Amino acid sequence: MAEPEREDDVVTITSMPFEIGSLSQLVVRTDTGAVASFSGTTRDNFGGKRVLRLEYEAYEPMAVLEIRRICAAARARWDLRVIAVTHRTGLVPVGEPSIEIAISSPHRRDALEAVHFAIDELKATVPIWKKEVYQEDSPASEGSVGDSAGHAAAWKANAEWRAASAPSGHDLS
Amino acid sequence: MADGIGVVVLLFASVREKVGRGKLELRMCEGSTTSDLLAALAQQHPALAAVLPSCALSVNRRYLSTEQVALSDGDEIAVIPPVSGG
Repeated sequence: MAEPEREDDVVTITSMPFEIGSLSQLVVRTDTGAVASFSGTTRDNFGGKRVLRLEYEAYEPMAVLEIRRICAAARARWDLRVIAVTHRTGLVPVGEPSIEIAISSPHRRDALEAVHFAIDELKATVPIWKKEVYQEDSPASEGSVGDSAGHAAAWKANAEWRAASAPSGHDLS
Repeated sequence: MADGIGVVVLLFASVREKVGRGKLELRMCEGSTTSDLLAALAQQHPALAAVLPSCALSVNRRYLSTEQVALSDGDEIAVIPPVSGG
């Protein structure tokens, strides 16, 4: 069964743009002495190719559950107050944030370490995918797919990817 | 009325594009497992056979934590290719 939802775990998957730093204000409370945050923004290049845009796709209900599981794991290790995680879906232009995590805690070390943990875990397990669309009609390589306008594109895979179990029965960790 | 069980299979990202659909509805025999489902998917969609071994599976929004489980009528299974969020 799913753990009961905590109101101080604020998890959002949205196609709406958001400002960098917007979550930090949300997690401040009078009993917190520290706020740490991470923002991931979309980069304009990969392997020498110019990236036009990124497209994110999520298995939304499961992504929310997995992020809440990460929040619970972080709370078990550090003394935290509010955890806010927002991940964007759909088309994200270069230079805009796709992910933000902000965590408040009474003391700085807890928030700093928990943010690091949370982004690493998110990249390992949360069912969200990113497709890079390139400016050039790059030569097709393995795993590459085109977009409707004929631009080369590729679905990415995080180095951190760690499924609980692959259907083949092999442990991917 | 139909015999067996009905399950929904959700496909994402590269897997969705290979099949051309994000959602499949399959009827399976009573007592079928996730392994049976994977075999059926590979047979019905040959394009999937090569990529399934690199994917994880979730059943009702939880990663499958053992090699296989028995499926129930109405289960929601997702084929989860390597993730790239963040």
